[in-house]
Amino acid sequence: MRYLRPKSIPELQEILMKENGNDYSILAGGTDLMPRYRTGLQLPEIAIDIKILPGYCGISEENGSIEIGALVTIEDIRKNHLIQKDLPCLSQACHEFAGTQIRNRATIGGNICNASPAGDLLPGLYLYSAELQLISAFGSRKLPIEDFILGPGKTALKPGEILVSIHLKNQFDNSRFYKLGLRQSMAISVINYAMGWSVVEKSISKLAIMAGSVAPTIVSLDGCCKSFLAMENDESIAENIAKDIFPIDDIRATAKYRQQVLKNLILHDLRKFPG
Amino acid sequence: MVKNLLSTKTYIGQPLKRVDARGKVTGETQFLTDISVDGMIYSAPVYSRIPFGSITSIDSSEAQQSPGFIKFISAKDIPGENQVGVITNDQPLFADKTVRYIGDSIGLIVADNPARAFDIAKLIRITYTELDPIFTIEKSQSVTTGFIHENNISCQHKVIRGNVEDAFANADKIVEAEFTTAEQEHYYLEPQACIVTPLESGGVKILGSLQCPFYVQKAVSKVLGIPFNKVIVEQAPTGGAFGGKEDVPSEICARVALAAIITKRPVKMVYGREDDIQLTSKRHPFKLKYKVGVTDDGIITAAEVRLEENSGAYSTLSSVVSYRSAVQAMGPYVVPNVNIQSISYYTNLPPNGAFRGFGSPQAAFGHERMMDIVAEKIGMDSYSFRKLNIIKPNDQTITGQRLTSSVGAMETLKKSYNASNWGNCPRPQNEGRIKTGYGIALTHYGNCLGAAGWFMDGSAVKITLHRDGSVTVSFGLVEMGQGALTVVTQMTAEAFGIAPSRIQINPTSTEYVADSGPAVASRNVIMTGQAIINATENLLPEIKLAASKFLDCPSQNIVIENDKVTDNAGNTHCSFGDLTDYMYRSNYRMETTGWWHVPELNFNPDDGNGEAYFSYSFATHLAKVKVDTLTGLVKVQKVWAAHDVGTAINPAGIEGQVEGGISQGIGWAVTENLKYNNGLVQSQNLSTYLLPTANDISDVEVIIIEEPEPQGPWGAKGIGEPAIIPTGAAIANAVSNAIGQQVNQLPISPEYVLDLINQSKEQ
Repeated sequence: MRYLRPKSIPELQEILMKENGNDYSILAGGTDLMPRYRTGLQLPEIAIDIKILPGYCGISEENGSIEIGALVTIEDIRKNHLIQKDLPCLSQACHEFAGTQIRNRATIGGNICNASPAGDLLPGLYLYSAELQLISAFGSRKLPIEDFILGPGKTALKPGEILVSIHLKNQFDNSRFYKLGLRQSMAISVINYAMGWSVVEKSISKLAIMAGSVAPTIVSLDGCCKSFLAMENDESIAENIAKDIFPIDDIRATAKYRQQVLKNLILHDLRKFPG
Repeated sequence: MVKNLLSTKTYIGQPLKRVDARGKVTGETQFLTDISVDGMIYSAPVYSRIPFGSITSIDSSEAQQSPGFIKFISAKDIPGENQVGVITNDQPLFADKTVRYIGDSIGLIVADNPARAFDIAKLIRITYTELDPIFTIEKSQSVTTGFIHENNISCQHKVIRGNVEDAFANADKIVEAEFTTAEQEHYYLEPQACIVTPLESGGVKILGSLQCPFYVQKAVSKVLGIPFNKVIVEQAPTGGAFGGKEDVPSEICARVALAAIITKRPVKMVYGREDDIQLTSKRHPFKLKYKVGVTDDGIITAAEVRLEENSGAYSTLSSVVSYRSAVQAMGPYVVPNVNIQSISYYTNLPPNGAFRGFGSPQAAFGHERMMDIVAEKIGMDSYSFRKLNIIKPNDQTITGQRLTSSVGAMETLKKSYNASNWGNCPRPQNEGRIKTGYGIALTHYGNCLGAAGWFMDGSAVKITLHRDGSVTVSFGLVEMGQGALTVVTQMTAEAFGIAPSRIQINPTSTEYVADSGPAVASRNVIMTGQAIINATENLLPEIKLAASKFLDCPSQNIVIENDKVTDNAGNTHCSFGDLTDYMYRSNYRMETTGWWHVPELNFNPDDGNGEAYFSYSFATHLAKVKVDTLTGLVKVQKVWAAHDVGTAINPAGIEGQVEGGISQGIGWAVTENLKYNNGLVQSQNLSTYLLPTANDISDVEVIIIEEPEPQGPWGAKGIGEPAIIPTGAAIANAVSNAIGQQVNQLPISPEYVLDLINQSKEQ
């Protein structure tokens, strides 16, 4: 494997132009790429380490929108007061994300580009309508996260393009993240979800639930939320959850368990709401 | 036994700091991955990639072209016997015809660096005629052709006593249940590793991460066809073993020894984690079938038990695991009529073998789940029902062995129950999402090797006094993380009456001491302790004679205590160093050896009656769990663990053992879940094989109970394995108590718990 480490955006762009068409992978924290090396899975021929690129490791707020640089680590997001206050699902997800050593290396950009169905940041990013800033030698563009992540490990990144920042806006008065892993820490999610809601005059006026690890990409449980807002019974809410998700059997759990446990947890959450 | 050895206890019972702590905490201790030898080359295993079949060709031509290739070694290169079976001769060193599991050894690649060795090993092209593989006990039992060996039964044991049929006919109630338990991977932090150096003698010196140097010596001697005295096996600092380095290092060291002899160079091999988990042994999965007869007032009258074990591709230690599970199948309870059958079946999985508890945790899961199920059926609480049937001094075990002393079962039950305060808790409010439950489980663990291994149940020490008063001890068992060096230091200090700081323990080597049997079966404290007492007795008269001359007083007055030599009247004294200096100058003997073997056991293997083990350690674990009824997740909150250890040599060490055992038990019962797909391990590293983290283990309250064992050194018994045995069963009982459904399997996966909860909703 060839290892390249650009120090600036122009240098990176030059590398990306040169390696266009070659088998390369962007490396930031390396926490998804390096385990592949150990277990003998296919590795890219070239690793382009962007960890020291300047300008993409900050968190800032402008006009009610929060911008997170793609190189910000999970641990930095976890500790950030702005995120804790305005984007609680993200700080909760970072709190439950792997262990300290991995949180110190792994980046938000990497978690998005890895596009794992079980990625812990993803449900929150969907809930907060994340827009992703992508740049390449030919310009830049912005994509909503749901148009960026196409399937497990698959994104809309074009050759030569990289993710540099994430823009988020929380449209809910309340939100929370839930993760179910098979042990209390250092576990990949069996299911996870982010839930956002607003209350007007003691009743829920707005509700959205983004569920992970139950389909190839994060699923917005629209049917379930509509059903709840229309005050339908638990049975039809549960039916609507089942309609929206496509879980699979894997080493962590069966599809049947994922479906049941997501239903149990969401119904439990919804029962606590007024009305 | 010398009188003052029993009466004075200066260093015994003290929580002496681990003598090996510093190196292990600072990282100064050199494990095998850190160790190099001049001229060293490296090897990697070549193994079967199919679960069952016969080899049709082996082609090493591509491997031979690879840069760094030195040698490919296979069955045809073996000068001695192609056999490494530890009890049964069913396991070749290198398969030449049949392969029986994914990981079955075919050869060894030797190369100039470790990464290359592993890469080149993958270039050996092997073709096979595949046979229909067998992975389950059910299939192993039912096939009529295509056996894995001559037939599919690896071994069997039984215990038959009294008249079960009559007892069932007269019982007020008969209760039946079936259980299953899963594999467990040892997950020692340091994988299997060794360095073998060829010697001028024509022999080899082996430095290995291992538990049983004398097993390795025997295996290597057989494979190389050279005498034992040309095979020197030294144990390197070993990063965990738990039974996983009992028999497995024999085959690994034998292969590398062969490579060293053939290449005439030192050869090193360290398994990667993924190879280690695929190639080496695990805890046996059991199927357990219980039928228990009981009177209406709660007296157990009969038990019929069938234990079935998945032994994997080779029998390795299955026979002794099966023996232990059979004789302990009804736990520490009095059951006058029994019919116990324990049978191991071959399958095309990695061989299952020794793992802390050695069949006992599985048996405990059976008998302790059964105690709760029977108690519920007759309307008794699980504590009272156990108290009624528990074994007391002068009662007989199921094998008809009368236990006369050091029977602390009742004490462990009462003390853990009282400490938990379960009896005074109101029935937990189990209406909400989280349900709380309590569960009790006991064990009576037979110390040392028992009747099945009596022929090798003796151990040696050699103790050298130096003229400056320092002392070197060589013992035949090993330190593998359990704290052996510290207790051996304490026991030597106590036996001589000298300060622990005077004592240095040699790395264990076949070079210094006689075959002491395996470092297994929680036997180090008893065996080495008794051998130390014996060694001291052999030299003490001479030391006292020297002291009487040196201090000018009668030798019967000499007392060595608290690191001082006195005349016991305060008239005169000297330091131990002054005495040894005098002894050296006066040509006194400065070295002693000691030996102790387990008392002869009267046991009949035909009906399983008699003395199964000479002594038993008793324990009760009482677990408190919380169950999330929405997800099925189980959190073990606390375990009250009462252990009858005879006499505590090092209470801090005992606490460590118990906390470690319970953590490992929580792993087996709750988080760990080894998964195979057609014989290939799926959960091959820590991201999918879920060892419990610090957040998953429970609070532990250790309660030490001392019922001295007359045959144990200073009254001590073993603790290493009792620490894990009741944990899984106690957790399963607690989860059953919380959700009101019987937990009949391990692991208690959230999916299984949720299924049980759904069943109770349907009822």
